Amino acid sequence: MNDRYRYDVIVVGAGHAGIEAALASARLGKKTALLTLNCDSVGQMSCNPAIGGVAKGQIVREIDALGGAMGLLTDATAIQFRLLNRGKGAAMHSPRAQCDKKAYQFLAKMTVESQPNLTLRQEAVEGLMTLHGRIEGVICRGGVKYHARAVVITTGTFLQALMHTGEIKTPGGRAGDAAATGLSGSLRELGFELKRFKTGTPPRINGRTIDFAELERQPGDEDPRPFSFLTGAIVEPQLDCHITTTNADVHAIIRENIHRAPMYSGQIQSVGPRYCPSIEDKIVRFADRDEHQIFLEPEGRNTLEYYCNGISTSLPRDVQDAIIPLIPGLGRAEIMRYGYAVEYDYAPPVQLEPSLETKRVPGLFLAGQINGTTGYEEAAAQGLIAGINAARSIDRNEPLIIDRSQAYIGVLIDDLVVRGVDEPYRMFTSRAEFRLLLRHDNADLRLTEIGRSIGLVDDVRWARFRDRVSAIERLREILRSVRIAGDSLERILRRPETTWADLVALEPSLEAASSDRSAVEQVVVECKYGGYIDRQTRQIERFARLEHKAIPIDLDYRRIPQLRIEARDQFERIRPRSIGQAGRISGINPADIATLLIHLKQGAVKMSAAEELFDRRESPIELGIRPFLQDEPAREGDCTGQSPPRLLRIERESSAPKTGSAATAPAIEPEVTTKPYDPLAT
Amino acid sequence: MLDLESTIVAIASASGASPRGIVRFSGADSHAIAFKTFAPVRREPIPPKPSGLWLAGSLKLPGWFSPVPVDLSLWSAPRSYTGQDMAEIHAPGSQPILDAIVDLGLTSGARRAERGEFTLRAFLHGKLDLTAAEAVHAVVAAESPARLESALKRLAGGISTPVERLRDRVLDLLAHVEANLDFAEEPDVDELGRERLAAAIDREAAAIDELIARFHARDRFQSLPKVVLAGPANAGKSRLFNALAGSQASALVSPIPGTTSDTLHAIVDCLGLKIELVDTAGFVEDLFDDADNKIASHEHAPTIARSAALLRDEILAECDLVLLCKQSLDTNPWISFPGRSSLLVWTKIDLRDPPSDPPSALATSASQGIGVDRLKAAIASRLNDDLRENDATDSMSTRCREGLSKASLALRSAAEAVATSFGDELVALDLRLALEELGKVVGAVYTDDILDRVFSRFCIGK
Repeated sequence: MNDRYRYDVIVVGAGHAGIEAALASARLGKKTALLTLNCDSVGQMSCNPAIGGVAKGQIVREIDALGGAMGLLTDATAIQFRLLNRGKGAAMHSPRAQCDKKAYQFLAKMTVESQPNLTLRQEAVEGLMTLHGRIEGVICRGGVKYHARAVVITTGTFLQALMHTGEIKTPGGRAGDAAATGLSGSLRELGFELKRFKTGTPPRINGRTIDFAELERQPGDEDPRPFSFLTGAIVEPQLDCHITTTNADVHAIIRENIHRAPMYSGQIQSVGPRYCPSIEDKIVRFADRDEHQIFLEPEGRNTLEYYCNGISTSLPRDVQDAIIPLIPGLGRAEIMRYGYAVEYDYAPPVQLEPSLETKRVPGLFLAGQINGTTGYEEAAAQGLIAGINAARSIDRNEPLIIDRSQAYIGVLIDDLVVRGVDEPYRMFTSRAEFRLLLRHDNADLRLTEIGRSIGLVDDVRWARFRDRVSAIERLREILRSVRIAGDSLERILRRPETTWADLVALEPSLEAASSDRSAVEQVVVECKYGGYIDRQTRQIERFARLEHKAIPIDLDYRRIPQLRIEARDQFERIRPRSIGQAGRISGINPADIATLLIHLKQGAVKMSAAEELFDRRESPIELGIRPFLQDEPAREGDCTGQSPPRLLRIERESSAPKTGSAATAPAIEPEVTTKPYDPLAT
Repeated sequence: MLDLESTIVAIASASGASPRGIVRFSGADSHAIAFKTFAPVRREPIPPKPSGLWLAGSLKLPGWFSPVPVDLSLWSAPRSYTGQDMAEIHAPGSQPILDAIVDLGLTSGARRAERGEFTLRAFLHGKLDLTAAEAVHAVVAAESPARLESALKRLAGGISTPVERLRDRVLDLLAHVEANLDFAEEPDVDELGRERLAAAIDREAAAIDELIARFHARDRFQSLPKVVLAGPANAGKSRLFNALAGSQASALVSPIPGTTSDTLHAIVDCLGLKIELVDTAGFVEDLFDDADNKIASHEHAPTIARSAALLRDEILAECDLVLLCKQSLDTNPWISFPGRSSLLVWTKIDLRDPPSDPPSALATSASQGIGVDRLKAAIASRLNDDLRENDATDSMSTRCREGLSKASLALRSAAEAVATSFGDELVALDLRLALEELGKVVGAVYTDDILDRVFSRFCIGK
């Protein structure tokens, strides 16, 4: 067979998930193909040209810390940086950037093209091939077959996609593009459940026809903060966004035409995101408000096109034409592209393992919007994890699973595979129970060592990380050891009113150690949060106990007659791996968990056999992090040769034998290895 | 191992003679077993899944000549107390009849229910939250009316309801804080304002404290059971105190009524059970409203006597056992303390033989050392009985109290975070903690700790 059609890993779709998946797989040494409907739309921002935001910005930092691409792509192509939630505590600080849409795309394409081991090719994938239930490859339009040992599907909104603008329906996953038609059928044939979601975009306007003088200017930050831990300073000049609002006249026209909106005429039945409502939704649901904000966001440096953030709509063109001129600053505005809604197939993500491999077809991974999420950042995070795990599956390595206490990425994937989705899923900080620890500023401290251990963090990033860790450590040491009037500097800094400048004034030796600004910020945050971080750390310990109370993967829930039928159905569908997970499944009440625990306790004797099965299966063993112990030898490859006491260390279990009968396989208790990273531990 | 699907039977009404007794069945065969010998008055077809169906009829019991008139009520899974098929036979409240009905159930394939098993089944079928289940268990275990009342109050949502409401309000607060964190950029999100937020949090913390205070009023939780000597002035309480306390005795005794105006404490060993014995000021006659022996007014008493009486009232309110003392010469009626466990004690029987009525009263003479050991034995026996039935109630209330205290603490910490202008994310952290704790009280959140209690309370997997 022709080698051109034989790969280790095939990634279908070159959006934000596909890029990360393909790059990760190729960087982990796997021969990878990235197949896209159109090579010119690699990394396209179908919706607003911005990356990051509250909780999402943290995700981008995490992707970067693991060795992903999104942070670097954003830094290189952004036209405006803003750190959101500046007025709140450090854990809430969330970077966001407007990007040059085209520049981002070009750089994404270039990054993919220049990646060794990675083939970018324009193909329309129309079907999946399996052999004995395992993925075997994909079939493209024209009957071309690609063979692979793992396939990652990242088709976004393209599956059976249908766009709506008023009464007009057009097949396609994005304005100007076609839909992916064959793949849904192929997934259904394999037994996957597919459902429909809806999302929408606003009209885009020609900036030449906007009267900016009438509008409120929203400039970027004066000290733009990059996303990537590798990016030095942002030096490119930044562009402004502008703010305008709807008004009573606009609302009146929308109300008059509400029956023509597909969501209200019954033309669209699918669920859309509540937190990202269309303008018609806002007007119906918040009838008492007579204005809604609109952010006019430039789409790039080499275009005058503006994105009207805040008036996503699927109203007919004539209604869009009628309302735009009524908006301040848009009196003579020309619409370049009309807003539309898109309906698409997604695969309810409870059909996935936490590795993002499907439960049904080994070797098949799903990532991104196909899993019912929204957002470039959420998609990229899944793509990264799916790509990593697709590559690892080929070497029969345990999958990388990041848990809820380690990263927003962990929260995201756990929510998806355990709780499922009933509307397009977007990340919020409130979804993370340990958010004081999941900050954008420490994403590298949380994750870069994991990235290094799996082989995704290159030497450059690793060296940078080690430098930062030692800078932080030097500062911590000074803060701990220097005392002023009996109080350590650390203690003084903990006082809410003390600033770093105050401290430098007290202790001039800090001046020299303060050259790394990010290191200074790190120790300040750690001190200011002090006791709260300790508390979250203790919470994580409790969390970990439930997470590691394993449930046998093959537990027969029908043999627990006391379980409510609804609970039994949910457990059978999702097959939680731990009591912690089981408790998070929607519709499960505490009595169900009690019943399950009672059953597990009763079956303690029989459990060992079940545990054997559990372990023997290619079960992901959590990669845990814990504070580096001082008396342990330095890791191989340490740059300094010393063992910095703060460095994270990865602990992993040796994988249990993967063959042999249940009777002979040794029972290995899945050991608790996840310990929280405590930046203040001594 | 308990088979929680088999059909079980037990007498569900209080023991002792009463107009009506109930025998309860739960499990798949409940209906069939009940119908084995039940003959309805009217021969009507029974609907396929009866729920709350009442049938009048009679029961033919082996060894009984005439059929016993009974009512039969039937419930079907899942709409029953236990979530399983259930039957109840309401019969005349005679122990032999009820026993015979249970025997009939046993010979027809049911098994005797373990203590608390109906509750356990209800709990496992999601019919009860843990608080309610524990409360039911407390009812099962309760024997004294006071404890039963307290347990029943809880079962009826005595704490669940206010805590649920509280939790609901704290959830609202958290939602507000969270909205401001996640949607900072949204103009639609209104900021609650730090003062209003702080005030709202304080209000909820105060509400919790009030609930805790109610707990304190209702339950006592000393490490040692407290036994109090009470009775009219000059009843010889202090002499008895000295006799019981032995070498530690330090009560000043005199024939003048009102000698003991402060309280005296001693640790006394009653057959291995350590108790805290408390001597109190006697009841001075004119302080009483005779009708129900309540203190009418302290205003006219001398200051010391008045404060002593107040102190005594406090001690009496939180004691585990009252030793009601009366001179054998005294012909006044016994003072009584409704709802308190008490023993009647004749004192100074060396002066005169005590009346034979009531027979339960213990005769003592402290000066002669008569009856002191018997009194100790009676104290130990009564306390042991009481403590046993107390267990369930106390462990429940301990858990609730713990949860409430932690929630209160968390809210105070949240208020502090608001006041010191820490970020809202820290306020949210504390609110979440408070919610978690309140959730534990009403059973909305379960932890291993709570489950461990369930496992230790109910007989499972042993």
